[in-house]
Amino acid sequence: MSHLSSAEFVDAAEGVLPPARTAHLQSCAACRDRIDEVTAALHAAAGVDVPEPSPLYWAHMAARIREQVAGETPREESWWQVPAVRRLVPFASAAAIVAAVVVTGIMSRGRHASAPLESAPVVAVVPADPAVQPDDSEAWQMLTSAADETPIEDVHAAGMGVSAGAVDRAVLRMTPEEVNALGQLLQKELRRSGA
Amino acid sequence: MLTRTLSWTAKEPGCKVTVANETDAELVQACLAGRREAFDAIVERHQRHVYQLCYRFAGNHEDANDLAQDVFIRAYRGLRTFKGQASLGTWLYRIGVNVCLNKVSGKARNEALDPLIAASDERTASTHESVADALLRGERAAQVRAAIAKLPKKQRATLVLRVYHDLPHDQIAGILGSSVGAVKANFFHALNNLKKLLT
Repeated sequence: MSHLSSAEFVDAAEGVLPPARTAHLQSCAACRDRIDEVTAALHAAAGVDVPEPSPLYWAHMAARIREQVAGETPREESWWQVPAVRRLVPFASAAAIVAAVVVTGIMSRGRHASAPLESAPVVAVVPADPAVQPDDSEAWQMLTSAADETPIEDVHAAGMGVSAGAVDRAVLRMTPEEVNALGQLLQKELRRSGA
Repeated sequence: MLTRTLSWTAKEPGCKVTVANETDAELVQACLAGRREAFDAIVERHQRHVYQLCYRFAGNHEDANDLAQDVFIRAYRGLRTFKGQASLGTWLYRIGVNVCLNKVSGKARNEALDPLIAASDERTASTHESVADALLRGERAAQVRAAIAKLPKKQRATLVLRVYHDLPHDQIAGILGSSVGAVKANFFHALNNLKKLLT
């Protein structure tokens, strides 16, 4: 019979291992040793208390919080906090990452213009249109907010990795105005992040 | 056995409830309707557990105090997003874990390593305990806190919620946005790493 899994070790340490697996535990010295180690660590952790603050502390803390929220009201729920919209956050984060990669690629090509890749698409960069203020848009604010809050590991875990060539294809489908607007946004983000 | 659900007593110090007999959900509704004292009651009901959670991450009273206040301020501002699918306690834990993981820095790790700070914090020591025993206990507590502070974030959060807040695995999964299996695996690895760090 196979050794206990990590979840089963936890069940065993907490006394809720199913009987079938308990039988294995009784016959397996290696698993028993492991349980002993886990249990010892559990007891070591459990023996550390949080010091009790002064009895007056609780009233003081409640008063401080009351002062800090005085004059505020609970915020109205933003449109991006609606559950259906929040479910789109991983996708929005992935889109933001794709956009970052696109512009990084564009900027990199610009720097290495003397040695262009043979397959590099030609993108016409038009002068900035002062009427276009993409960073004012709600969609962009949502993207940057989501990207700030979402670890890159979560994006990969959600299967939102960028496939090879996807960035080039995305660029090729953009109009020059879109590329220009994207460039403005991401240069601003790069400056903000100190990159 | 480490299993219980969130049903905190209002009898402990720090848990005095001024809006009598109202459930958490009723207090939230009252607060959203403009009754400020309802939020006071929420704070009074939950502040001890939130503070203890923050202390487990911060390792000292001052930072735990700041973090706990931050948790409640964020909770107040975001009260409209509380839909009652989880208990208010679970929701506050979720905010607390996020605040602590984002704000607790290496400073807490260094303080947790200091046995003098730990010994001076051990105010719960019995008055009959000798100074030497208290120091020894403080030193051991400092070692354990330092080891816990070195654990990866999710392992640390899982261990804190399970060992010190006695939350069942499914509730921890809800707070951390993981599966029960992942929570148990994290807990196992946390204990394993703790064992290594303490030897």
